[in-house]
Amino acid sequence: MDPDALAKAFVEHYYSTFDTNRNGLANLYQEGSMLTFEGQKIQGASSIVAKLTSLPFQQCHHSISTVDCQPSGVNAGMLVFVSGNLQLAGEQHTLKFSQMFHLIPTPQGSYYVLNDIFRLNYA
Amino acid sequence: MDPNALAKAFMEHYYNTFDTSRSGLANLYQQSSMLTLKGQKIQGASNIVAKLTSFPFQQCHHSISSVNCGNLQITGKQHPLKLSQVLSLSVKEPCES
Repeated sequence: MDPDALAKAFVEHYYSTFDTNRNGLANLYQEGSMLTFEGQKIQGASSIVAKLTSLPFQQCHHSISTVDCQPSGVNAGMLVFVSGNLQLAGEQHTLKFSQMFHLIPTPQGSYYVLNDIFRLNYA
Repeated sequence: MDPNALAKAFMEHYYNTFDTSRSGLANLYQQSSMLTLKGQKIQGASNIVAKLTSFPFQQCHHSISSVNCGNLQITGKQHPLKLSQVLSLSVKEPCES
């Protein structure tokens, strides 16, 4: 699969899972993974999913504006950089966000998220 | 150096160099580096710097509000543009002594 197509497929899977079943994100992370969420660093799959499932909203929808990917140069990984809008249920205006994923191949032939950095874009 | 302090120092250096002397960014990239700018992929230090120095503005100022977003003010334009950028930093091999 072409890297850009793979990145796009990953992004669709990630945000669809986030929007419908955040617990389902657990198998995309490992214990070595780190999420920085609005500047807070969270280590390991279980802590990451605990954070994502503890966010103060139940329903949301991500609409993706741009996806860029590049080879990361180490371990045949891939950098994926996403920008888009986040709509929270009950809120009128969307929030702009950007997110970076560093994906590493697994022995099973898929990818997991080693590094994940999320920021809302305001100010 | 703590990684957050290092990232902040790198960013200040990068954007200050961008805003004052874009050619000076050449020594921060190598031939294996890739820049994706608004969807266009550019490979290698010389091509990257050629791209950065070919922009249709001479003067600009970046103000960075968090590790991946900020504002770009172009001289002569009234409103700043919002930007997001990811920089993947690799350890530079020490020079042979």
